[in-house]
Amino acid sequence: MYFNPPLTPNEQLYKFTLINRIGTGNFGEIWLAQDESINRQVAVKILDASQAAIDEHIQEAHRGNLMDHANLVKIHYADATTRKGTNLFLIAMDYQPNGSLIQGLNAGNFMPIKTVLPIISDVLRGLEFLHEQDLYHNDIKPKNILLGNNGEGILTDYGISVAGAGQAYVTPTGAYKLHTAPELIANNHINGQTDIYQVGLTMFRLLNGIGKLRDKLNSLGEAGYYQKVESGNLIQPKDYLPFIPRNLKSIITKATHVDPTQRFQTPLEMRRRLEGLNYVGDWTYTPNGNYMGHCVANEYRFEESRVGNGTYNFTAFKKNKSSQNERRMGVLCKQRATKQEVEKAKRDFMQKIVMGS
Amino acid sequence: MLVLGFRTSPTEVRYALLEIDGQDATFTNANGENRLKFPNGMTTADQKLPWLHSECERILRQNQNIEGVVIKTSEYGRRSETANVRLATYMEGVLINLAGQKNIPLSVKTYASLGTSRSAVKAFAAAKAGQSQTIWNEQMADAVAAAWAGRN
Repeated sequence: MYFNPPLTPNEQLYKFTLINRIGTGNFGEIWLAQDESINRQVAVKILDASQAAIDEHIQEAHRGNLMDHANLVKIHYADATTRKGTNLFLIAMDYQPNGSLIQGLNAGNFMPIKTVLPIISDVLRGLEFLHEQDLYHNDIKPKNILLGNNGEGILTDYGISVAGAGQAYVTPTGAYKLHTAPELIANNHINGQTDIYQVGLTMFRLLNGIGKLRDKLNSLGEAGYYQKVESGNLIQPKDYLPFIPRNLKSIITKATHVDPTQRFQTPLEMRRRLEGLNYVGDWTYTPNGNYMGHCVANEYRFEESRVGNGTYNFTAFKKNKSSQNERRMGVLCKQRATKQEVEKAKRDFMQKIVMGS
Repeated sequence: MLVLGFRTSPTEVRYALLEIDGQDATFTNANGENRLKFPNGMTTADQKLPWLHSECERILRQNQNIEGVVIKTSEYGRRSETANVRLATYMEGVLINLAGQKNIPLSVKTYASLGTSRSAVKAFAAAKAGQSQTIWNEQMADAVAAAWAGRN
């Protein structure tokens, strides 16, 4: 929601001078602001106090203030003020200038594997700490992961977090539609494994395209989408980009299992599985609309072309980054092949780069 | 009292949490996490040490009643000054630093000061506190023996 009349840069709001808006949501707006009392820039979440009980806002601030962890945004203080007759609640927290992971997506709306995995490990570190505080985050999504100055992932937004310990189920006050877990749809409750589910979906979206689940929701409608969630069929094998290795898919499959007891039972357990992976290369997507592979000193690309009735050519290329010499990788190419054969050749080639083999 | 025993190596760290009451010790993480295996692809000290730092921080945070930390260090001797030993020693520095920051008493021991030897440490540790359920080896036994040495 946006405030009316709109908040504007340089506006003075209590002890804050607003600089620029960095986010919005159902709750209100987030602004980069100068805290004049301590002469420091902070991110301020500005909430219309009439939109939710004041206790809920205070609870969010209290919870955020407990987050003394490098992978969690810390809330420093909360204030109430009035603006043009509207009561506002202000929550001041660490400002991360790099913004959320959304800003780091490539032209294909995904992030390279080697970028995503350390960030997800960081999120799981933060989540472990949050669970130790007997809280479920309940809103883990790419937009709620900020990128710190050293490239680390930092989990933010405790707006719909819920008090809950261990595996105990609780009823949440809100949910993010795309990441609604099967147990919430079926029984209106969540627990620590719901956060694991949301980490799994976050990872899937970052690796394969941030819009994949939104597209499903739009095409299936809410009821159809939830039916897929409840039946455990939300993510299909064809939804993965061709270079995603099998062992990474299996981690996402486990994290997003329809039965919470079959998921990773703790953030640490999931993090250990991720730490066991080791990919040498990865793929990104260029603004020209092409895949580009990177592995050590080389860049990789491929071409697909239709050469006849139902036949295609697939050609793989390797370019040395320093000499800029490019050569065709004949052994991996396919001539006059079927669409299926070309798809397989492409998948094998792309995964070969990722595995460094 | 809860004592953390710690033993490093270039590829992994083993640790033991012993709840010690007089001459009785319970190896509390015998069936739980007692091995910190460096993530795949992490090869250099500048990658391993920050990771280990966050792991040690986590262990100390999740076991806030730890009253002592004992590190079984590498043995001194001829030809012992290798790159691997140096790296293992840097890792010890991570825990020494953290224990200092958290004001937890810490000591560093060799076999002589633990009252055992490399060939005898598995039997020694097993007799004092029992064995880990998985991967019971000299490194794990070193960590148990170290923790045992931290009793009052």
